Amino acid sequence: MHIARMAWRNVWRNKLRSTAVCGSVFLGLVAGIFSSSLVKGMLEGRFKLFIENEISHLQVHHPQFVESRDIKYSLNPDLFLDSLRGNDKIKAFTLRTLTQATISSSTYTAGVSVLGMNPHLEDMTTRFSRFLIEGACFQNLSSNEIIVGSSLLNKMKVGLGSRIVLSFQNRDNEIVRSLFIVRGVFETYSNRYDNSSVMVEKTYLNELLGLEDEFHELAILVKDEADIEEVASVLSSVSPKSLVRTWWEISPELILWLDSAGIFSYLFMIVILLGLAFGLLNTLLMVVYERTNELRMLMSLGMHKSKVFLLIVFESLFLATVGTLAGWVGGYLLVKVYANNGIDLSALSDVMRDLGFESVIYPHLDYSFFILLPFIVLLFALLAAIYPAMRAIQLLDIKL
Amino acid sequence: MAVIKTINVSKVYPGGSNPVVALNNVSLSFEKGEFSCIIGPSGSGKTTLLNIIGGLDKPTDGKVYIEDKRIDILSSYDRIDFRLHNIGFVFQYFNLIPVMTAFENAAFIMQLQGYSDKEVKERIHFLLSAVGLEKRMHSIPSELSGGEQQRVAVVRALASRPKFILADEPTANLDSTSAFNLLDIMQKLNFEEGITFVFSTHDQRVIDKARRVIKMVDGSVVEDKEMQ
Repeated sequence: MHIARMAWRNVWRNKLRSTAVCGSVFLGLVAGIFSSSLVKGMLEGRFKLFIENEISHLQVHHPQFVESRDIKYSLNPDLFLDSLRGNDKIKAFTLRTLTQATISSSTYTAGVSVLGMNPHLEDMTTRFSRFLIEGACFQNLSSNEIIVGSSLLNKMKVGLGSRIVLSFQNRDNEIVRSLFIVRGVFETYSNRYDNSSVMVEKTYLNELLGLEDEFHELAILVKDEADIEEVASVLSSVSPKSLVRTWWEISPELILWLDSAGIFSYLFMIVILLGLAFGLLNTLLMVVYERTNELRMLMSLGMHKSKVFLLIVFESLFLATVGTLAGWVGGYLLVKVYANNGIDLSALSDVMRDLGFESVIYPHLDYSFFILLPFIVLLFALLAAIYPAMRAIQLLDIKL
Repeated sequence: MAVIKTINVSKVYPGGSNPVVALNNVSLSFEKGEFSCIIGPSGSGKTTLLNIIGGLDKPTDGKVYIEDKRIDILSSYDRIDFRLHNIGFVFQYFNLIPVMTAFENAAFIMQLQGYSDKEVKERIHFLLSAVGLEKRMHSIPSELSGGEQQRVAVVRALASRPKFILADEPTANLDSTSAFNLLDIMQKLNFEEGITFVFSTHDQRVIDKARRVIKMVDGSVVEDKEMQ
């Protein structure tokens, strides 16, 4: 026990140096905890957006539509509506008609994805209306109104009330052209989406495509994620020939994203800790060289090499522990402050939108990483102490 | 029986074509309760002899016995253990641990030996009081004078009742008053507790107090005389 006490006091012999080492551990930990929380917050935010605004928890398609995107592979809503409305585990659902089209104004032509939707159902499921920055959603069913992404609108050099033409193939593979009036402008978190998608009223689109009340995509949001598989199985039993997929089947890369957040956190932290470990090693080597005579004296008095080794290891652990405790608390508090208020990256909003992220990021602490972190730091401190401690023993060729 | 006995001890430091002979066939023995000093000019081999007697170094040739135990053949680990339990050291530069109080420095060896806190407290209080440091127990070395630091070092060496104490120029860094005080204390402990002291020194004040003076020149004992 007196070895530990001696080590603790030795740590504070050079207060400035020890404070600098503890400070670097503190800053390293705060940076590591905050950056990993930031990445986790970004990815989870993106994940949430992706689920809530794009793919939802479950989707139902005609199996061949998924392969060919041919509009003739549609499904009859009557198969599902009773099950959907009677299921209290379902929060919302929307039916979509999907096709590819060419959009034209007097100055611009481009390929776009057309989403035919029921505005009420779509808003319940994806809260689409929050992305409307100008105009409004469709007022009447079966209207020839269109909602266009802001960046696409700018490229087309048109505005609200302007007329644009959509051209696409109908069910019989005939080219159909139709005039649409720009009713609203949306701006989502994704520039790519805003540039390549337009929304029209589903009933009207179905008429143009030669479909009746059919749909290509049924997107479902459940109340509790734990029920996703159960709801999927109910829908599969209702229409065994339909392809019912969960979000992780539709976008397995999402799982990879979330996993990669954890891996990134560890990798980033390991890089920080390697830097800290070398700093600690350097400090401990200085300590050993400065105190060689004193360590020799301790051995001449009868202190075994193992205890000298332990003394250096304790000093390393104490230095790391002080910095770690401070950094742990500091990192936690910093994350908590920004978890509530968010980090506003509006200045980078274009870049963030290009990447598909919202411009306000809410850091999210990964508790398993957070709890494990001090032990990782102490492990690095232990490893950093080994070489100086061994060097100390090598130097202890004791003489009076 | 001799507490310390060296038989034909030599120490040669290899220096390529010019090896340095630090000790040359030194045979000495020290009886229990002796108060002896080894004198000689710098480079005469005094410190080398103390290192070998103290188990800090090994002779190139010869044998070293502490009581009936031959220590020159012990492993490094066993020599450390042997030193801990049998030999007290007092160094020229005091060599106290700067971050520990006088009490903790004095108690250091007893704690390494595993004495209980109660035993340590009683013994160290007694010894520190005996050397006049009862009021400085909680001072760290930088708050003590040179003489006080050396007294703490003596208490540290004595605390665990070693078979003998080796003191390498213990008064070299002390003023006259402190040196006389220290010598008085060591002499008193020698009389009262029968502890064997072996000094290496240049200091005439130490030589005057010694009851046996061994003179070394060029690694050999040239004079060994009892003093009145």
